[in-house]
Amino acid sequence: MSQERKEAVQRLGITLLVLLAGVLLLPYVGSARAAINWELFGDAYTPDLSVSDNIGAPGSQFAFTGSGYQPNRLAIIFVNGQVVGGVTTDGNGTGRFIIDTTGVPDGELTVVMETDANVSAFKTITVDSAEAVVAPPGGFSGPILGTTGSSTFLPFVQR
Amino acid sequence: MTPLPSFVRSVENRSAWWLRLARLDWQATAVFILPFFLYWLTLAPTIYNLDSAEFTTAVASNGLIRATGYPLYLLVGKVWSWLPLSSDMGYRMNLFSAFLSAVTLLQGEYILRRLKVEPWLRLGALGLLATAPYFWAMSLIAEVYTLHTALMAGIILSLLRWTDEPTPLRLALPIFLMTISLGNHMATVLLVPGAVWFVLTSQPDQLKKWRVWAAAGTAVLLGLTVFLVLPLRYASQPLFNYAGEYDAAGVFHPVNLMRFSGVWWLITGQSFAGQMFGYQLSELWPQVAAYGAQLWTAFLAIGIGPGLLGLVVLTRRNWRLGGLLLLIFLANAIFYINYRVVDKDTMYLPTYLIWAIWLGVGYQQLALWLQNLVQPQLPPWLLRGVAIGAVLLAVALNWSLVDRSADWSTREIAETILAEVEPNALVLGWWDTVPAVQYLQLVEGQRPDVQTINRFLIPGAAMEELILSQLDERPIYINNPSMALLQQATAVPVGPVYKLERRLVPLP
Repeated sequence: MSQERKEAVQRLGITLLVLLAGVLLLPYVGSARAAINWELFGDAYTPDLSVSDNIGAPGSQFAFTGSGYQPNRLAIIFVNGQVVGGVTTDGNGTGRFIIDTTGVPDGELTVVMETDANVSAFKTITVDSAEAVVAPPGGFSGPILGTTGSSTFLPFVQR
Repeated sequence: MTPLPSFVRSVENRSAWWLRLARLDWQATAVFILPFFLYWLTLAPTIYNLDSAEFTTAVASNGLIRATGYPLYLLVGKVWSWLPLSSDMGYRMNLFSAFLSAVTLLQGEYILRRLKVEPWLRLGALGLLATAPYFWAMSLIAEVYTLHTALMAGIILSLLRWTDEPTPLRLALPIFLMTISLGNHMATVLLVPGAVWFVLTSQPDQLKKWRVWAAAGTAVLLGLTVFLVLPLRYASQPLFNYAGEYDAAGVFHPVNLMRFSGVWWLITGQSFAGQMFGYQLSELWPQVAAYGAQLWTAFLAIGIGPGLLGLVVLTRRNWRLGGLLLLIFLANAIFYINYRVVDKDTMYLPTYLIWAIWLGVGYQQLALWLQNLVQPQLPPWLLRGVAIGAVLLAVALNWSLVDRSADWSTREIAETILAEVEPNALVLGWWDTVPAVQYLQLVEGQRPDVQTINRFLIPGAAMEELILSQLDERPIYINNPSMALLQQATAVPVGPVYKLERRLVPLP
């Protein structure tokens, strides 16, 4: 191979290395791509409370995730108006907890997660003996909070 | 035979037309038109949500925006809104962002020309900027970010122009742009260290001339006049005012913008001070990594290596200009990495612009490196092919992520609320509902009987007191009732909000 050709190959190789350097970082960067819409940032302004299942038999454990709260703040958890515990949100303003319905009679439970009057969200779940017992999804972690579910009259939310 | 005068005119017109076409700067035209067309195809068709709805409503109704006030956006947005581009004001203001993005790219073209980057490689570098997911997404909705990048590109370009011929007037232009840009986004202060570095290292003797100081001072004063928009609008008592607070009686108390202290409070964004440098040291690494991943995605991986090469080459070739760009990049990256807000991903666009300049220089360096090879024709075309191919790939990959052309959701939510709520209702909600409802009321004249309050503007305790005092007098709707409200009232779902109805027997 002539000297010129050798140099040409070298230069081409270095050029390709520079061009592909970013691609080599793929394992460290990942390739998660999400649509960029207002819902992506809606939580920045509005707290939201979601639950793994809406209905289950007494003894079920319902997994709740609150998002869009202030980061690193204590949120109070209410079930039908009664304080059942608290959870501290993480650096992203997300808090997770589990409501244990062991011994709770059939009916609706309104669960509220609140840091202050303006940052509050609720979700209603149904305890029904005719349904199967539900459990938190695998890998879900959070404090387990018990409730009697019968301390106040129901429901908070009318349908 | 004498030709008819009209025929003569026609031939002359045609040749003048061709002459004009031949003189047209096709490369610059392409850099402006192609992305603008892309943004037009994917533009949000009407009012968009969150901040976008707030900006559009404030511009259209001569209102006031929350901190930092954004007087320049209110002013130039108003002028743009007069253009008869659509009957839908939301669409018009979305198109404004697309236009400003194209202006940013056009100025990027002129910056890269000065840095001797060849046309296809300029198009490749700026094309990746244009199609970077967040740059593209922010070009499709009413927002302040693309005005910010347009002004930033103008500041860099005018500083470069000043070094060609360092006259006081030429220095006054970037100073004026920087001052007026403060009226659009306070993050303009992040450009100051780089600009000061560039001026001091390029022409330090200039600062000894009184004419320079006089021109600079005049430019600052002229630029600051944009802040007069705030007291002027305040004086007109706008219906849409996000600079103030409601009390427990539902009375709005605007911040007094006729006073310097009020304007200062608004424009310095003191209400957001808690979020600035809001991370502990131990929390920082994930934020840095997230930014790195975002930059990687923005430039489709392929732009990372040449971008870094461009940074090194440019800094070695022209350390003054290299310092300007590096300082702007670092100031913006460090500030926003440390800014604890969920939507900060939308705020990195200034760093993208700098990266695109480095990318263009890096591409050019590779092209020079490949010159004079055994087969001189192949490699340069290979590089151009890679640069342009990356842009086409970015368009294909990112289109579905950013396309808002069928997104009517914000209008639909707001119209549903106004269609469902009863006469003389009070509606309380957050950014995802209230600004869009106010847009329909103030801009399109729908349901003036309904009172809407953004919960951002009322303390929690005052809101509860207001609701409980009016619960028996008027229909009240809210997006997320607090525990205290749920103890006094039941919540009945009505569209995306709840109607509160007093309980016959309050809960204990």
